Amino acid sequence: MAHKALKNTCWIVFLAITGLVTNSCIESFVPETGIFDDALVIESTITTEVKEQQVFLNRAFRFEEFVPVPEENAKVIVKDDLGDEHSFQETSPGKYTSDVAFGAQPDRSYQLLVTTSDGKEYSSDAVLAPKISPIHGLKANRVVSGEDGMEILVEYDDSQTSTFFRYQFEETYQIIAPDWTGSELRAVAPFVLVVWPLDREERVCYKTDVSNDIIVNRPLETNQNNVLEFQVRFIDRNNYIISHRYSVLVKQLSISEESYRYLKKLDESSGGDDLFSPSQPGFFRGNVRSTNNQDEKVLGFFHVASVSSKRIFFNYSDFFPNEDLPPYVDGCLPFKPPTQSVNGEPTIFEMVANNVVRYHGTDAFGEFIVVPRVCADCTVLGDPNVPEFWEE
Amino acid sequence: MKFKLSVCLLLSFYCSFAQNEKDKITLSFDNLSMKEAVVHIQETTGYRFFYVDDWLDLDPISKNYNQVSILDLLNDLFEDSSINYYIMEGKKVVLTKGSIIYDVLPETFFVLPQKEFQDSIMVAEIDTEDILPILQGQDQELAKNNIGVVKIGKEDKNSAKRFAILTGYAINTKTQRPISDLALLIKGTGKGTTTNAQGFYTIQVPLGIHQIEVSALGIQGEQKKIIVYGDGQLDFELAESFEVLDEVVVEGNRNRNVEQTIGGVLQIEVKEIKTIPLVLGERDIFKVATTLPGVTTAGEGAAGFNVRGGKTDQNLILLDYAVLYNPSHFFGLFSAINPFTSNNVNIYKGNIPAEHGGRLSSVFDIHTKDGNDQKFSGEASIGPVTGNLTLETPVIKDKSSLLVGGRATYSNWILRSLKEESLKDSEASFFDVIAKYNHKINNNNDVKVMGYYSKDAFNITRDSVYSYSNRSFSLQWNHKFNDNSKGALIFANSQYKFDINFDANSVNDFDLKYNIEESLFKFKMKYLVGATHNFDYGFSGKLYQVKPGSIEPLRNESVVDPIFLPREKGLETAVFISDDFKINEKLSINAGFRYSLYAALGKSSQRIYEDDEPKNENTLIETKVFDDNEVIKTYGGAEARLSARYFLTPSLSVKASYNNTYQYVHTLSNNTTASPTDTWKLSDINIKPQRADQFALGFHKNVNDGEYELSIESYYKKFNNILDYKTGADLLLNEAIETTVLQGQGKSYGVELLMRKNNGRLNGWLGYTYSRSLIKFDGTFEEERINGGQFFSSNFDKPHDLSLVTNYKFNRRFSLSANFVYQTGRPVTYPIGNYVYEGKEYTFYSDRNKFRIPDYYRLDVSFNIEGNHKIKKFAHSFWNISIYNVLGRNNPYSVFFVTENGQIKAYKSSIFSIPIPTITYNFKF
Repeated sequence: MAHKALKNTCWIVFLAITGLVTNSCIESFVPETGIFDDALVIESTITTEVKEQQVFLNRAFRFEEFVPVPEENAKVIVKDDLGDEHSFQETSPGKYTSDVAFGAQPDRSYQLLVTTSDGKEYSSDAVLAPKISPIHGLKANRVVSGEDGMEILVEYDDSQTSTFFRYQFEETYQIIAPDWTGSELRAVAPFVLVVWPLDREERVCYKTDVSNDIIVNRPLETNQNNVLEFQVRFIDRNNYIISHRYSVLVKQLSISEESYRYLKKLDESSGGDDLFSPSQPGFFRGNVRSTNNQDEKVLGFFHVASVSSKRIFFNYSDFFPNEDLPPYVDGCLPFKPPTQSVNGEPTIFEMVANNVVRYHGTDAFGEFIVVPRVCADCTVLGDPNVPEFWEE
Repeated sequence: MKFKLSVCLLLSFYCSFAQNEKDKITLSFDNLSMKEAVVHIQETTGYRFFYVDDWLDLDPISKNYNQVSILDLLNDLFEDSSINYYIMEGKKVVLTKGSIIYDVLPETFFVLPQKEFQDSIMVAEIDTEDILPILQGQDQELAKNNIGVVKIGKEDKNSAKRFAILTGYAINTKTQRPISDLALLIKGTGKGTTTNAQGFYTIQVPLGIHQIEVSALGIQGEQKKIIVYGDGQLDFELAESFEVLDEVVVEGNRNRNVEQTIGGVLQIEVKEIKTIPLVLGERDIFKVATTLPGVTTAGEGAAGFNVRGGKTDQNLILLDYAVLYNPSHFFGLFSAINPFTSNNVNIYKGNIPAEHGGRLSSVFDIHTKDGNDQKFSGEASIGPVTGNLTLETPVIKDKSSLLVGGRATYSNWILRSLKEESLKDSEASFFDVIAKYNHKINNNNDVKVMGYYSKDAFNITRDSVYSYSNRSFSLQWNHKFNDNSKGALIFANSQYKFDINFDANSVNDFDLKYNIEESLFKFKMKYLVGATHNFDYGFSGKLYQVKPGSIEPLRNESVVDPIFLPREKGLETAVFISDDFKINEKLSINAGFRYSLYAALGKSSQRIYEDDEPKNENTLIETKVFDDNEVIKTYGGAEARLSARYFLTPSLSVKASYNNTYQYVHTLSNNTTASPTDTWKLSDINIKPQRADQFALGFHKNVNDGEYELSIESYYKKFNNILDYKTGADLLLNEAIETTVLQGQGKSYGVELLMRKNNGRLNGWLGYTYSRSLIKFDGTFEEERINGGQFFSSNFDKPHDLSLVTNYKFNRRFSLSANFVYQTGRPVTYPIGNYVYEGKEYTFYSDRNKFRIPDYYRLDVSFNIEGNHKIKKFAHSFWNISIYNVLGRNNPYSVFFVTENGQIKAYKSSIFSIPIPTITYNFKF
């Protein structure tokens, strides 16, 4: 919601009014965890894609701790309303994978059953797999008003209003090393470096990132005749990922209203307080509960989603013709490393041996000039293999 | 016209019947004052005049007499004045003020020395011992009473009038301030009246001799004989009967606390709260209210009040019968009620009178004072944040007056003068204006019209402007059918709206709006049967119209989806009757009954859900469409308002009461406190009205003839269908609001102790309340349950609440006041652990309101300087120097937790964490 943009800065105004209050009204403090409640955290989204489905089990932890403890050796089963059971095996600590690949069938309902190693039983509500609601349209636009950048928009058709959607995306982008020369320095003998032609791809790579933000939307009818759209992703024009060619696979997950609510709540619970609706925090349950003890707190949610996905590509030049590229991840200043160590500084030999620089050129005295490796070797950031789906 | 009888004159004469002046007189004069004219006549005719200089008018007159008798001449000359004359033997003319000297009167009389009178015109006081029985046949009784006799008006032998209008005003000799609410009674006639806030009164009295008795709380009563000849003025200069509790009067009527039949009433005399320490220079009725037991706020700067464990939306705040939806400015830091224009405030927290309804917990009945119908006057104050000016003026003297008051901040000016760039363009301002016109048509009819408007506008972020406004209007026509029966016809209309405008020149720009309007029609009657029954009855109808919200993008390329929620409409009607029945000297009962009926009206689309299922999309069966004004659903119920008072001893009474109330409108609020985006929602098919039942028992005691007041009241309150929201609900602009809210139960109970010292150099009060406020949401389904369906603390459950308000008077001009407040910290939901979900770290929380924020305490002091009391001074001034939060206590207002860079951070916010000094200057003219 757009009004979330209004963050909590009101008291600044108040300060000004009085002209008297000079110290900050909001200050941070260190709370002590009064009573820590241990809780099982369930994380699973069963989708309509036929694949090895996954369930993750962890435990909550104290503020002072930083890493969750996986819940190991649990028995995990997903059951459908016809009584078919899919059992899961722990493939790494806390990660449970279905024995066989399967996909949820729309209009069937599924239930997660977990028995932990200490014998406690947990079960989720039966969740109906929603009907598949394919992505009607996916497009990229340059946003000029406000922040300059690219936005990825999902378009809806009329039948999709009031449906609950969750979005996940995988973005893949081409990385071209700006200072690639096609050569590298090789140590052919101790303290002897030669310029050697590259025998592998280091100029063009591909990198894929997966979103982990919670992006949900429920398109609502408007009284305007616009095509309903939703911004799934915004990329600042200075982000190097759009420098050449960019592709994004947007997954549209039709989810239940409960899933939608849960995700929204979860997202809001972690956000800064919206001045207008500082949602009062409280414990909120997902759809999994303990069958032994009704009062036991269980965190997380068992989602069942119908998935539809679409991919688009665009080039930087399509939207930013004749404009400078976004800055690369590194400033890429060429430099001349010493051949002998001064004050412990690494020598060019050490740098080559440690694979942290790439050949850039040779100066008038025949000494090598190098750049940081990332400037001439894209494999630092990505993978030189062209992804299967990639289209030029 | 001001006459000063500064000369003390002893007029003594003997008179006998001797009217033998037949001489014709011819004379003329031009532009002479009355006195000069008299001197001129004396010189030219040889008649000698006896008079008091000051009686004679200074306005120039011109006359031309040709061959007239002395009688005709004098008749003509004094026709327009209040002078009567008597011609004695030897060409002596005695001029008198008003009275006709009857020839039969055998004795001399004395006009006794007069004290300096202000604004008095035609008063002469006569010592009874030497009085001449002026009106034959009535002399016996008069001669017996050794009290002052006052002659009113000028007798006209030819007049057929039987009544005269007596006006005047009362002043406190000590303070030189007008005395309001002074009761005047004309003995034996059943006629009586009271003075208004400016001390003025008007009464119709039969001609003749009367005894007039005046009395008021804290004022030495007085009886006066008056001889009424005609219209005239009678002023009272009265002494205080005891050291008046000048500063910290909360209840005006000395015995009211023990005597009143209904319990749980707080009365705040607005003009008496001026010495209470101020925050930012604003005198605030509501802040005073919160120092009294039973009324609290969720925190500093929190809008809304929690009365006896009720939510902030359960208070009916009435300004001259018109509802104020948001009676605060700037997040509740300032009250939107102008203290200069308000008369007094009655807060009903226990038994709500049957004429009021529609809110569960309390009625704040605020009345605007009537303007001064005698002379132009005003009051102004200058504080650090606001300026306030109130003016009063007669429109038709003695009949109608107009009062206009306005307050505004100069904060915009302050903001603009700041160097800080980010604040320079900010806006933060509020103002409120009020106007009241009252017109006395005749003795049986009067009309009052009130209009009010308040507006707040401020930036919340740099690019967003949030504004809200209240608009109220009321019209009241009072009619007196006879001495036992009075009626009032009331029409009132109120509107509250807010608007959030976000304009950052981006695709996110939007304009969000909300609006509620209500119109009230009410007819009420008061009927007295003897001294034992006092009936109030009538009916009322209230139409609600709500535009529950819209959001519109400000730009074409906006990503903001426009939303328009359909309008809501509802009609709330009620009939009511109550009787204050005095069974005997000790026992009296106030039995009230109200029946309210609410109809939700179309046009509307109502979502119908499966019975016994949580309301959500999946259980939605259908959407029913209703036409305009079609009844969607009705709710109604009988409401009892019963209370009884019994005197255990003459100064100790016990009061018990039961009452129940229904409420058909609800606020939707994600917040602990009333918040700017709280929206009001009408009951419909899915949202049921709230109901409360309250039982109360209290003891009230006056000690030392009202010097000390003690009361202890206890209550138990039960709520049904109170609204709360599911955790994380999105309430704003949600069309299916019923799917995100819950209706549950509540209970609250408490004991309230109030000790008050009303007079002496040190006065003030100590209030202590122990109370609990608990709520419970226990639905059949998990999503309808909060905290496992058990009772838990409401957001404003603060068991211990102590307020001490004191004032010490050094002398008439200087006084020192101090407040101390202590409250248990309010409940809060605390994070109890972290967890990782889908790669991100989150915090999970305890059960709702399981923990508490630190206790709240605060000390304020103020020093008050009254200007001197010289009468002739143009204005009466008053300085107040306050320090708010002297101890600099960093009272946390709220505690919240934010995930920053994957880490949980805890914050506490406070509003006034350092002492805030303020100086305010007030003056009155």
